[in-house]
Amino acid sequence: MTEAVLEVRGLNAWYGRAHILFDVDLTVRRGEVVALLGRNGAGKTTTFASLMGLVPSVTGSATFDGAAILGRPTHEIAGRGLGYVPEDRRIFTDLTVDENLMVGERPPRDGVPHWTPAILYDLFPNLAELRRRPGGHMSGGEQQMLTIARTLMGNPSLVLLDEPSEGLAPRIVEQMANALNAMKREGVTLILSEQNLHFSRLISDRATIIEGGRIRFDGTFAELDAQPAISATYLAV
Amino acid sequence: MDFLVAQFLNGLASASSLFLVASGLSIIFGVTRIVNFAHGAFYMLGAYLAYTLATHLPGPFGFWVALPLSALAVAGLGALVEMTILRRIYAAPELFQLLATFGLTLMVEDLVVMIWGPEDLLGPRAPGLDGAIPIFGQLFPTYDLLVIAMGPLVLLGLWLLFRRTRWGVLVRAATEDRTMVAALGVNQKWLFTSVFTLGIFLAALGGALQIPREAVHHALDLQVIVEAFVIVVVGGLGNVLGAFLAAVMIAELNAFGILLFPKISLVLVFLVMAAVLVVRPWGLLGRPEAHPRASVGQAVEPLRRLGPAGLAASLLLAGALALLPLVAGPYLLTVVTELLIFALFAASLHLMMGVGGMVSFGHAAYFGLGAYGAALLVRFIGAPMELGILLGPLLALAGGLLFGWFCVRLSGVYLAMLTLAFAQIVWSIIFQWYEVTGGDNGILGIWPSKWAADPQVYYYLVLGLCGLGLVAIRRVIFSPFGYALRACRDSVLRAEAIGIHRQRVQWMGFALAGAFAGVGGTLYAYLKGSVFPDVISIATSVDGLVMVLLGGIQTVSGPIVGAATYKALSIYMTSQIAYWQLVLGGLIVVLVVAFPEGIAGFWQRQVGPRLRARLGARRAGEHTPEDWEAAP
Repeated sequence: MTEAVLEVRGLNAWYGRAHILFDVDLTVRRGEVVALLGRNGAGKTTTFASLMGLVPSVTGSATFDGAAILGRPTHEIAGRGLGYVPEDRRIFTDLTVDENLMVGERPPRDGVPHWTPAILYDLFPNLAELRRRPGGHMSGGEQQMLTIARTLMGNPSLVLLDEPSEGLAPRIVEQMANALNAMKREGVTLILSEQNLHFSRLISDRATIIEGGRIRFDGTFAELDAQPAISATYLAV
Repeated sequence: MDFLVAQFLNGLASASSLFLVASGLSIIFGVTRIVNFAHGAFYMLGAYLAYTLATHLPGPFGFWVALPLSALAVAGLGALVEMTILRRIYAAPELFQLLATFGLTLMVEDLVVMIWGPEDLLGPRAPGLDGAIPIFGQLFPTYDLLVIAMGPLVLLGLWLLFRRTRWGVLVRAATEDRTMVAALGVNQKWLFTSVFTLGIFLAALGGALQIPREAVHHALDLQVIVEAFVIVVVGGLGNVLGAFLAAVMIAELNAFGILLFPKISLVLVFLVMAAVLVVRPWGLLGRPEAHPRASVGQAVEPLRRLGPAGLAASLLLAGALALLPLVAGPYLLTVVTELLIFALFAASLHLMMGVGGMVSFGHAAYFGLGAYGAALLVRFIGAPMELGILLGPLLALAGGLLFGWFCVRLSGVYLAMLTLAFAQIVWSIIFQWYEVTGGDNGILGIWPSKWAADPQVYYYLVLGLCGLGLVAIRRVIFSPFGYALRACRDSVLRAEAIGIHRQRVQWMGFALAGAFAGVGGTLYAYLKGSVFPDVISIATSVDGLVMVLLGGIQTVSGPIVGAATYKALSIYMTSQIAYWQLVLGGLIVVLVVAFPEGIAGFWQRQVGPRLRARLGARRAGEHTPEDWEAAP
């Protein structure tokens, strides 16, 4: 078995007095795509935000590429190669597509794919046609592509991808799945947070289910399918 | 006609300098979210330093080296300030940075007097450009043509910097969304330092360029900062091109306003600003923020009613104040009377910004309107004190209703800047409407009625009225109206969704805060026996901010503590220390860095829980609400 890129143990997180995450454990190995599944409010986004140093009050431990990252400043964590694609996309609307990519640019990193604008425009052909367009004048799908491409410019060893299919038209979701599979073939390691079981099944190797801030299931999709009660309890709407 | 062209060019020359200052302010605000009050002080330092270097460096090149050199030196100082002071308080609520930069301004004002003396200094003429050339038959200084060219040149330079370099792209990205920039691995520490340094460089260069045109003096800072605020807001925060357009507009308005409407020349600029903001709330080229941040007063801990201990302490304090005349002489009584008045003033500002989430940079307007309300009654109908105290605050209420109507259409820094504009309008009207207000001669002879003329009696009167005012403000905060006000502060959308008429609630809150400030102003007029335009100055407004922030915006009693501390300190220092601004400014900076949550906030969150924990150990079994909420 390949080495773990990320190992999270006993992660707890609070917003003010509200306790959101309870002893979350999570392991991701190099080259793997893990689906973090759960309903709205289950704790997916908070898990990602905690790992990125965006939640002020957290306890537990998280080791990324051999370094403890919990409590470190956000830019340092990102600089170590932990890429983050937030749910609300957060495109720089004043900046062109090219400039958005420029903000994400980091030096190459050993052992992980090296991304350039040219490669990314191949991966997301829609973006290639919009290089000089301000981010604010793009459709939701195009923005979602751009935010993934922008994060890849940092040559991350692991990408936290928060609900990439949310709010996108079915045709665009399909393009998104193709692009993510292409990234996977390039060797990008991913945690994909999703509510859409079907979509995540197309891309992921493993499923982790979170509900009420606690991890409820961790295993392969075959194991998940063997226990229909689990999806029914934690994922069905 | 020819004269008009010359006047137009004159306006352009002033516009260049203003643009340099305003673009620096705008860039700094855009990225760091710091409203850099010290920007005018750095402009002034640039001018002073350029004066010294230009008169001391030898040869014709001395002057030309002096200008960029002084700007660079001041920029270096700016970098030092950013690294040693501002860097420590970026995480603090954003107004604390304003407070720190205000402290710096105070310090610089005294420092320049210490170094360069209080006299106006006339800089040397520019070698090579000291003549004048005829333009349409009017002689126009050659140097001014260079200054005119500097504006577009700097604009072009900044444009290239922001469009063509990675640094510039990062700055623009950070202007839009700092958190995302960090999440992409950019260490913003140096980005902030470099942006701040660039902004200060532009300010200092703007100051240095002015030395052959205008005298250098130690009040330049406030004069410039107000104009720079206006330009930045009219142009759109963080937008450099907008700042350029606004600078030209404002400078031309100044140049021609003085010809066309000499009576209201000062008012004109602020009227235009108010008009622009009402039509385009985010300035000419600005845009609403994509990710609006939490409003100012929004607290981690909600405002709390007084517990038994707090109630006991308040009663004890009231008792002590009631007994004070038994031991205190007339001087001390007068001082404490003033403290009480400012406690009410600070509490009224807190009602507006802490509870209502509307930051005011111009709360002195309502204090001043209250004071002038009473003074005008005395001057024109010879009203007795009783009538003055009753009717004076009505003028403040009217001002609050009028200005508030405009202000509540905006939010955040724009709202704050608009309050500043309105305060300046009030100040200008009072300053220029000599026949009615006496201009800077003020209105004299506003004395209490005979029965209250004794300091002791007047003290009791103020204690009673201010005490009532403070209790009333407290009642408002914990009334349904106060809850609605806080709801609008915390989430406009949710408040409106449950049927709260946001603009009306905030408008009433604004007017109410103005009225309470007016009561303070009226009492102040009778305490001093006179009123001057000073009561409406920016300094008074900022004093109010310092009191609220120093005391702690997240507590109800904080502003009262802040007012007493700050006012007592400043009264003591003005009477005892020659360079009191230097000491007071330094103290503010130290306090902000040491207690970024204010004095009362520090008590409530650091000392309070520890005290409670100790007492709790003795009184086991007693549950505080926090225990109950923390229980699983």
